[in-house]
Amino acid sequence: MDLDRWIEQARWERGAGLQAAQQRLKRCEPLKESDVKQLCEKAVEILVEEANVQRVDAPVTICGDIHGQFYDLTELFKVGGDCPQTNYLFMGDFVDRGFYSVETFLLLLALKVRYPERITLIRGNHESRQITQVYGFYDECLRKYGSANVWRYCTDVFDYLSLSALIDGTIFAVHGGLSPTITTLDQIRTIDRKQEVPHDGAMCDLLWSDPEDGVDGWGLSPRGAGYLFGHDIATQFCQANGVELIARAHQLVMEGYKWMFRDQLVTVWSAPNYCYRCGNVAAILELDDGGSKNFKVFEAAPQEARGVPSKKAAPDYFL
Amino acid sequence: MKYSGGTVDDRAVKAAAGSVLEGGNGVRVGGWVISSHKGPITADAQLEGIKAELGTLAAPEQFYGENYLRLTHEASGTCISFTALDALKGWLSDKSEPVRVEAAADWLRSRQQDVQTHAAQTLEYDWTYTTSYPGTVGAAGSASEDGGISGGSGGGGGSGAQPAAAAAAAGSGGAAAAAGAAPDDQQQQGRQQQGQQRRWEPSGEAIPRALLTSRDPILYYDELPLYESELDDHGSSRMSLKVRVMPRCWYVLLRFWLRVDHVLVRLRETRVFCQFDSPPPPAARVLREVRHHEGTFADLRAAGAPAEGPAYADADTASAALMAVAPLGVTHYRQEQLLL
Repeated sequence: MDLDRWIEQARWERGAGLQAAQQRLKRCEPLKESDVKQLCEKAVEILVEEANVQRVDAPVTICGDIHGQFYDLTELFKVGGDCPQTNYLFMGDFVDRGFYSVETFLLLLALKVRYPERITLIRGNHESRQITQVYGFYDECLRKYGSANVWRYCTDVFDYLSLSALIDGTIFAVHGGLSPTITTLDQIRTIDRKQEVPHDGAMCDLLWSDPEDGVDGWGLSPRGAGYLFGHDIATQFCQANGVELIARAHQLVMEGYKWMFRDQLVTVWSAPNYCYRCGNVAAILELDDGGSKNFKVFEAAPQEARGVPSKKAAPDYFL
Repeated sequence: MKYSGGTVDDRAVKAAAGSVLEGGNGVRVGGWVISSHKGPITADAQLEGIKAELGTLAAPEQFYGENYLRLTHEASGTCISFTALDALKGWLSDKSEPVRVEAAADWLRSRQQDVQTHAAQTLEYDWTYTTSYPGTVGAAGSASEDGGISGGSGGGGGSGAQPAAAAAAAGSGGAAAAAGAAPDDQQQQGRQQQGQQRRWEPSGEAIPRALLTSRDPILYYDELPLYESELDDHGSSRMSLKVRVMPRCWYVLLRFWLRVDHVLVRLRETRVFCQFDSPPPPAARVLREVRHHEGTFADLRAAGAPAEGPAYADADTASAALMAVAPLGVTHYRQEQLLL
């Protein structure tokens, strides 16, 4: 398997004009099943060595949910710079919802295998067997490969993805949020993460919980499962762990990023025009080695509109 | 990104002696002016403002505040509109039983101690965003013409406030409503201020299928979401509509569709119809059919409906699956008319 060639192909030639890009893309067929297997095995070898709180050094660019919007991921790299010239931290939810979860996850995984020190992938709540069977990735694998093998290889990789990252000791990055059973980072370090995302416990909370302005302390979601945490909880966590900022993803934000809790927490969202209809912009957060933060906001790739339902609906004799 | 109205068939509009509205987002035909608009989801700051105004902590994360459909009867000046804000008000006044996710019981049991230790407060609001909103009736001038989120007046139509009670099988169901819902009398007041006596009244007449199944050309067609939530990956909640304008009639299908994974599916459909070649303008009679149906996946399966999966992937397929087992699962049905 020629990883470099495939990565190059998957990224396609940028600036070559739409038609050239389209032609090139047509040639960029997904990896063969046997290659996927090999790629996933290599990825596991790397990921198994990573900590639950993976150490990351600035400069690094932090990204939120991608959700299978492959062309927009390419746009993200155009805006943020290619890996390995730019270091990246992706905070999970690579798959589901969009039409190209396979290509998205495999490109990120290929970059991880090729440049393990340059890109960090942490787990989102969609990196789960149960969720991907409902929200698209499983069906997409079946459609593109004719069997569930590729889905199985990928979901096996999910179990090895790290749960969080700590950038220069001061920025804590996680997909969802905090957990009432976690007060120190060391408590995260002791989790046995190599499993399907459980329905409860600290690991579940890290991937699922949400910050909420209207809550003091901990709140329980009315749906009957899941935590919400207030400003005071974020403050306590930051103080206890010498952290300045909690960076997380998990929730759609129209402007691509959203500050909360007096700049103690930021939500980063990297899927523009989410689900091909929301009209939101996406953002990535660049941290330079001096510690300064810069958001780059971007819109959906023009190519992303291809092959998806057009704005003008075809008249339908609905009843 | 371009936003717009629906799809126009210019030739058919001309043949029907109608005209296309300036901007192309609607048509004038048969004594009606029909227009629609689709925009992006409402920005965070604006949505926070709406939440504060309505007194609610939560709102669907995909709230299409600019989207609307308006059907204005030129002779009477009555406007039937559909907006996200009014649909959301319908959510706040809904009285359905609270729904819990499948894992709720296990989750709470395993978390009992944590919840107590941390004195976690349970937020009480209907996280499924269930609404019985059947559209808004007002005077043409009262609904803001710029299509902004302030558009529309009052809440549901005349008899729209009750059906949720019928849908709830038992119990008080009081927990579903959050504070700040516009009370009915306020809505009533709103209508009186407009000097409108137009009311939906019970009708024995069904919407004529024959006219809807005839392949007359579609002059104007659109489909648009009003709001949508992924329910934090526990299913899908979507309020949306479709409209088609034909040479002899117009027809709207408004749907609230809810799927809570492994638990239930709920569909609340409002069909609104007006034949405008009979009686001839200026008089008009608008017909409305409201049907609520729902079922747990277990009950639906027991009744012979398909198992959970692709059959409930969207409102269209779910509707077909539910219709197949009807009247089982039908919790509310009414036929009404509005004389103009």
